[in-house]
Amino acid sequence: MTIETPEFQGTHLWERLHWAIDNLDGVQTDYRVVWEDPEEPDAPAKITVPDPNWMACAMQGGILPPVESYWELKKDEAQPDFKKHTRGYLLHNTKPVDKMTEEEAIEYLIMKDIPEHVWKDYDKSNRKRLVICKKQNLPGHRTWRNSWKINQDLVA
Amino acid sequence: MSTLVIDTIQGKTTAGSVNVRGEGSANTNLQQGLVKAWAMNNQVTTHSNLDSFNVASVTDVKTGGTTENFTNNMANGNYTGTFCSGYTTIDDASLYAVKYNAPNTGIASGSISFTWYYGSHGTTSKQAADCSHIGMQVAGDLA
Repeated sequence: MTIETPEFQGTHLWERLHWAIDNLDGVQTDYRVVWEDPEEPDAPAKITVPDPNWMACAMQGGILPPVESYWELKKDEAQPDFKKHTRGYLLHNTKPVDKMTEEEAIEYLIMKDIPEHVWKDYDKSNRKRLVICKKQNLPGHRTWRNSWKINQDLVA
Repeated sequence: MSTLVIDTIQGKTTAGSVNVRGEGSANTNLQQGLVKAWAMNNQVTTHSNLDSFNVASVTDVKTGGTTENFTNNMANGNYTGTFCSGYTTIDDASLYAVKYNAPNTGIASGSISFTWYYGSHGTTSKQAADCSHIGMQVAGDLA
Protein backbone atom coordinates (compact mmCIF):
# COMPACT_ATOMS: atom_id res chain seq x y z
CA MET A 1 0.00 0.00 0.00
CA THR A 2 1.36 3.40 -0.90
CA ILE A 3 1.14 6.26 1.55
CA GLU A 4 0.90 9.88 0.53
CA THR A 5 3.61 12.24 1.76
CA PRO A 6 2.21 15.24 3.64
CA GLU A 7 3.00 18.73 2.33
CA PHE A 8 6.37 19.15 4.01
CA GLN A 9 7.70 22.42 2.61
CA GLY A 10 8.31 24.60 5.66
CA THR A 11 8.42 21.65 8.06
CA HIS A 12 11.77 21.09 9.79
CA LEU A 13 13.66 18.32 8.00
CA TRP A 14 14.27 16.54 11.30
CA GLU A 15 10.49 16.31 11.85
CA ARG A 16 10.02 14.88 8.37
CA LEU A 17 12.48 12.12 9.25
CA HIS A 18 10.32 11.25 12.27
CA TRP A 19 7.33 10.89 9.94
CA ALA A 20 9.38 8.70 7.60
CA ILE A 21 10.49 6.38 10.42
CA ASP A 22 6.86 5.95 11.47
CA ASN A 23 5.45 5.40 7.99
CA LEU A 24 8.07 3.98 5.61
CA ASP A 25 9.91 0.67 5.47
CA GLY A 26 13.65 0.90 4.96
CA VAL A 27 15.06 0.11 1.53
CA GLN A 28 18.39 -1.76 1.67
CA THR A 29 19.95 -1.14 -1.73
CA ASP A 30 22.68 -3.27 -3.28
CA TYR A 31 24.36 -0.21 -4.81
CA ARG A 32 27.72 0.91 -3.48
CA VAL A 33 29.86 3.92 -4.42
CA VAL A 34 33.60 3.28 -4.39
CA TRP A 35 35.77 6.40 -4.53
CA GLU A 36 39.27 7.68 -4.07
CA ASP A 37 40.15 11.17 -2.93
CA PRO A 38 42.95 12.66 -5.08
CA GLU A 39 43.83 14.89 -2.13
CA GLU A 40 44.60 11.77 -0.07
CA PRO A 41 46.72 9.72 -2.49
CA ASP A 42 47.93 7.32 0.20
CA ALA A 43 44.46 6.59 1.58
CA PRO A 44 42.62 3.43 0.55
CA ALA A 45 39.47 3.52 -1.55
CA LYS A 46 36.38 4.55 0.38
CA ILE A 47 32.98 2.90 0.01
CA THR A 48 29.77 4.84 0.57
CA VAL A 49 26.64 2.86 1.38
CA PRO A 50 23.18 4.49 1.33
CA ASP A 51 21.25 4.29 4.58
CA PRO A 52 18.04 2.23 4.29
CA ASN A 53 15.85 4.85 5.99
CA TRP A 54 17.28 7.62 3.81
CA MET A 55 16.75 5.53 0.68
CA ALA A 56 13.10 5.07 1.67
CA CYS A 57 12.75 8.86 1.94
CA ALA A 58 14.38 9.38 -1.46
CA MET A 59 12.12 6.87 -3.19
CA GLN A 60 8.99 8.13 -1.42
CA GLY A 61 9.48 11.75 -2.54
CA GLY A 62 8.43 15.02 -0.95
CA ILE A 63 10.73 14.63 2.08
CA LEU A 64 14.34 15.48 1.20
CA PRO A 65 15.52 18.98 0.27
CA PRO A 66 17.21 19.56 -3.09
CA VAL A 67 20.88 18.67 -3.03
CA GLU A 68 21.68 22.32 -3.81
CA SER A 69 20.57 23.19 -0.26
CA TYR A 70 23.43 21.08 1.10
CA TRP A 71 25.86 22.74 -1.30
CA GLU A 72 24.88 26.16 0.02
CA LEU A 73 25.54 25.04 3.59
CA LYS A 74 28.93 23.67 2.54
CA LYS A 75 29.77 27.05 1.00
CA ASP A 76 28.86 28.78 4.25
CA GLU A 77 30.94 26.34 6.25
CA ALA A 78 33.96 26.90 4.02
CA GLN A 79 34.06 30.59 4.92
CA PRO A 80 36.98 31.46 7.24
CA ASP A 81 34.72 33.31 9.67
CA PHE A 82 32.12 30.51 9.84
CA LYS A 83 30.83 29.91 13.34
CA LYS A 84 27.39 28.36 13.00
CA HIS A 85 24.88 27.70 10.24
CA THR A 86 22.41 30.56 9.87
CA ARG A 87 20.78 29.27 6.69
CA GLY A 88 19.47 25.96 7.99
CA TYR A 89 16.11 27.08 6.60
CA LEU A 90 17.41 25.99 3.19
CA LEU A 91 16.89 22.42 4.36
CA HIS A 92 13.46 23.10 5.81
CA ASN A 93 11.81 25.73 3.62
CA THR A 94 12.99 24.80 0.12
CA LYS A 95 10.51 22.72 -1.89
CA PRO A 96 11.32 19.03 -1.29
CA VAL A 97 12.42 16.92 -4.24
CA ASP A 98 10.06 14.49 -5.96
CA LYS A 99 10.44 10.75 -5.62
CA MET A 100 13.58 9.29 -7.15
CA THR A 101 14.47 5.96 -8.66
CA GLU A 102 17.14 3.94 -6.87
CA GLU A 103 19.70 5.09 -9.45
CA GLU A 104 18.69 8.76 -9.16
CA ALA A 105 18.96 8.51 -5.38
CA ILE A 106 22.53 7.21 -5.69
CA GLU A 107 23.44 10.16 -7.93
CA TYR A 108 21.90 12.57 -5.42
CA LEU A 109 23.79 10.92 -2.58
CA ILE A 110 27.11 11.15 -4.43
CA MET A 111 26.63 14.89 -4.85
CA LYS A 112 25.61 15.26 -1.21
CA ASP A 113 28.02 13.05 0.73
CA ILE A 114 31.14 12.80 -1.43
CA PRO A 115 33.43 15.82 -1.89
CA GLU A 116 32.82 17.76 -5.10
CA HIS A 117 36.45 17.49 -6.20
CA VAL A 118 35.95 13.71 -6.32
CA TRP A 119 32.73 13.49 -8.34
CA LYS A 120 33.01 16.56 -10.57
CA ASP A 121 34.28 15.47 -14.01
CA TYR A 122 35.21 12.12 -12.48
CA ASP A 123 34.84 10.39 -15.84
CA LYS A 124 37.34 12.73 -17.52
CA SER A 125 40.34 12.10 -15.29
CA ASN A 126 43.17 9.78 -16.28
CA ARG A 127 42.65 7.66 -13.20
CA LYS A 128 39.12 6.52 -12.37
CA ARG A 129 38.31 7.80 -8.93
CA LEU A 130 34.62 6.95 -8.58
CA VAL A 131 32.70 3.80 -9.46
CA ILE A 132 29.09 2.81 -8.80
CA CYS A 133 28.79 -0.93 -8.38
CA LYS A 134 26.77 -3.63 -6.62
CA LYS A 135 27.84 -4.97 -3.25
CA GLN A 136 28.60 -8.39 -4.76
CA ASN A 137 31.33 -6.69 -6.83
CA LEU A 138 33.24 -5.81 -3.64
CA PRO A 139 35.58 -8.12 -1.72
CA GLY A 140 33.67 -10.35 0.68
CA HIS A 141 36.38 -10.04 3.32
CA ARG A 142 38.39 -7.27 5.02
CA THR A 143 41.87 -8.60 4.34
CA TRP A 144 44.33 -5.81 3.51
CA ARG A 145 41.49 -3.29 3.75
CA ASN A 146 43.91 -0.37 3.99
CA SER A 147 45.40 -1.27 0.61
CA TRP A 148 42.17 -1.38 -1.37
CA LYS A 149 42.21 0.70 -4.56
CA ILE A 150 39.89 0.94 -7.54
CA ASN A 151 40.93 -1.64 -10.14
CA GLN A 152 41.70 0.58 -13.14
CA ASP A 153 41.62 -2.37 -15.52
CA LEU A 154 38.06 -3.28 -14.58
CA VAL A 155 36.62 0.22 -14.85
CA ALA A 156 38.50 1.39 -17.95
CA MET B 1 -2.12 8.99 37.71
CA SER B 2 -2.48 11.40 34.79
CA THR B 3 -1.76 10.73 31.12
CA LEU B 4 -0.57 13.50 28.84
CA VAL B 5 -1.79 12.99 25.25
CA ILE B 6 -0.31 15.62 22.96
CA ASP B 7 1.45 15.91 19.62
CA THR B 8 3.82 18.79 20.28
CA ILE B 9 5.58 20.36 23.23
CA GLN B 10 6.61 23.94 22.57
CA GLY B 11 8.26 26.50 24.80
CA LYS B 12 6.08 29.49 25.76
CA THR B 13 8.87 32.07 26.04
CA THR B 14 11.10 30.52 23.37
CA ALA B 15 9.44 27.98 21.10
CA GLY B 16 12.54 25.81 20.73
CA SER B 17 13.42 25.66 24.42
CA VAL B 18 11.57 23.59 27.02
CA ASN B 19 12.89 23.00 30.54
CA VAL B 20 12.24 19.83 32.50
CA ARG B 21 12.42 20.10 36.28
CA GLY B 22 15.41 18.10 37.43
CA GLU B 23 16.89 17.19 40.78
CA GLY B 24 16.58 19.88 43.46
CA SER B 25 16.25 23.27 41.81
CA ALA B 26 18.07 22.31 38.60
CA ASN B 27 16.29 22.39 35.26
CA THR B 28 17.22 20.22 32.31
CA ASN B 29 16.76 21.67 28.84
CA LEU B 30 14.79 19.16 26.78
CA GLN B 31 16.19 20.09 23.36
CA GLN B 32 19.81 20.01 24.52
CA GLY B 33 19.33 16.54 25.97
CA LEU B 34 17.97 14.88 22.84
CA VAL B 35 19.98 12.62 20.57
CA LYS B 36 19.96 14.22 17.10
CA ALA B 37 21.30 11.26 15.12
CA TRP B 38 22.13 7.62 15.76
CA ALA B 39 23.15 4.54 13.82
CA MET B 40 23.98 0.89 14.30
CA ASN B 41 26.55 -0.40 11.83
CA ASN B 42 28.62 -3.48 11.11
CA GLN B 43 32.21 -2.75 10.02
CA VAL B 44 33.12 -6.41 9.70
CA THR B 45 30.75 -7.47 6.94
CA THR B 46 28.63 -5.17 4.78
CA HIS B 47 29.49 -1.88 6.48
CA SER B 48 25.85 -0.89 5.99
CA ASN B 49 23.67 0.62 8.68
CA LEU B 50 21.37 -1.89 10.36
CA ASP B 51 19.15 0.90 11.62
CA SER B 52 19.51 4.61 12.15
CA PHE B 53 17.94 8.04 12.48
CA ASN B 54 18.99 11.19 10.61
CA VAL B 55 21.66 9.38 8.61
CA ALA B 56 21.81 9.52 4.80
CA SER B 57 24.75 7.22 4.19
CA VAL B 58 27.75 5.57 5.78
CA THR B 59 31.24 5.53 4.32
CA ASP B 60 33.69 2.70 4.93
CA VAL B 61 36.91 4.74 5.14
CA LYS B 62 39.52 2.17 6.18
CA THR B 63 40.07 -0.54 8.76
CA GLY B 64 38.03 0.50 11.79
CA GLY B 65 37.16 3.81 10.13
CA THR B 66 33.62 4.96 9.44
CA THR B 67 31.92 8.21 8.47
CA GLU B 68 28.20 8.62 9.11
CA ASN B 69 26.70 11.36 6.91
CA PHE B 70 23.72 13.22 8.34
CA THR B 71 20.48 14.02 6.52
CA ASN B 72 19.85 17.11 8.68
CA ASN B 73 23.19 18.86 9.26
CA MET B 74 24.32 19.87 12.70
CA ALA B 75 24.69 23.62 13.34
CA ASN B 76 28.51 23.40 13.19
CA GLY B 77 31.28 20.98 14.04
CA ASN B 78 30.96 21.49 17.79
CA TYR B 79 28.68 18.54 18.46
CA THR B 80 29.57 15.43 20.36
CA GLY B 81 29.46 11.75 19.56
CA THR B 82 29.15 8.70 21.77
CA PHE B 83 30.16 5.27 20.52
CA CYS B 84 29.88 1.67 21.55
CA SER B 85 31.01 -1.57 19.97
CA GLY B 86 29.75 -5.11 19.95
CA TYR B 87 31.52 -8.23 18.90
CA THR B 88 35.03 -8.46 17.52
CA THR B 89 37.79 -10.99 17.41
CA ILE B 90 39.86 -9.11 19.97
CA ASP B 91 39.42 -8.22 23.60
CA ASP B 92 36.48 -5.80 23.81
CA ALA B 93 37.82 -4.25 26.98
CA SER B 94 40.74 -2.63 25.19
CA LEU B 95 38.68 -1.07 22.39
CA TYR B 96 38.13 2.66 22.08
CA ALA B 97 36.83 5.00 19.39
CA VAL B 98 38.28 8.31 18.31
CA LYS B 99 36.13 11.00 16.67
CA TYR B 100 37.61 13.30 14.09
CA ASN B 101 36.42 15.58 11.34
CA ALA B 102 36.96 14.05 7.92
CA PRO B 103 39.88 15.78 6.18
CA ASN B 104 39.48 17.66 2.91
CA THR B 105 35.73 17.44 2.86
CA GLY B 106 34.65 20.66 4.54
CA ILE B 107 31.50 18.93 5.72
CA ALA B 108 32.12 18.70 9.44
CA SER B 109 28.53 19.74 10.21
CA GLY B 110 27.25 17.13 7.76
CA SER B 111 29.03 14.06 9.02
CA ILE B 112 30.82 12.41 11.90
CA SER B 113 33.93 10.29 11.41
CA PHE B 114 35.43 7.87 13.88
CA THR B 115 37.96 5.06 14.02
CA TRP B 116 38.01 2.08 16.35
CA TYR B 117 41.35 1.12 17.87
CA TYR B 118 42.67 -1.42 20.34
CA GLY B 119 45.84 -1.30 22.35
CA SER B 120 47.21 1.48 24.50
CA HIS B 121 45.97 4.92 23.53
CA GLY B 122 48.73 7.23 22.32
CA THR B 123 51.26 4.45 21.84
CA THR B 124 52.67 2.85 18.72
CA SER B 125 51.17 -0.48 19.77
CA LYS B 126 47.62 0.68 19.05
CA GLN B 127 45.97 -0.75 15.95
CA ALA B 128 42.76 -0.03 14.09
CA ALA B 129 40.13 -2.75 14.31
CA ASP B 130 36.88 -3.51 12.50
CA CYS B 131 34.03 -4.11 14.92
CA SER B 132 30.54 -5.47 14.47
CA HIS B 133 27.44 -3.83 15.91
CA ILE B 134 29.00 -0.43 16.48
CA GLY B 135 26.65 2.19 17.84
CA MET B 136 26.87 5.96 17.34
CA GLN B 137 24.87 8.74 18.94
CA VAL B 138 25.17 12.47 18.28
CA ALA B 139 24.07 15.32 20.54
CA GLY B 140 24.26 19.05 19.87
CA ASP B 141 22.43 21.72 17.90
CA LEU B 142 20.77 21.05 14.55
CA ALA B 143 21.10 23.41 11.57
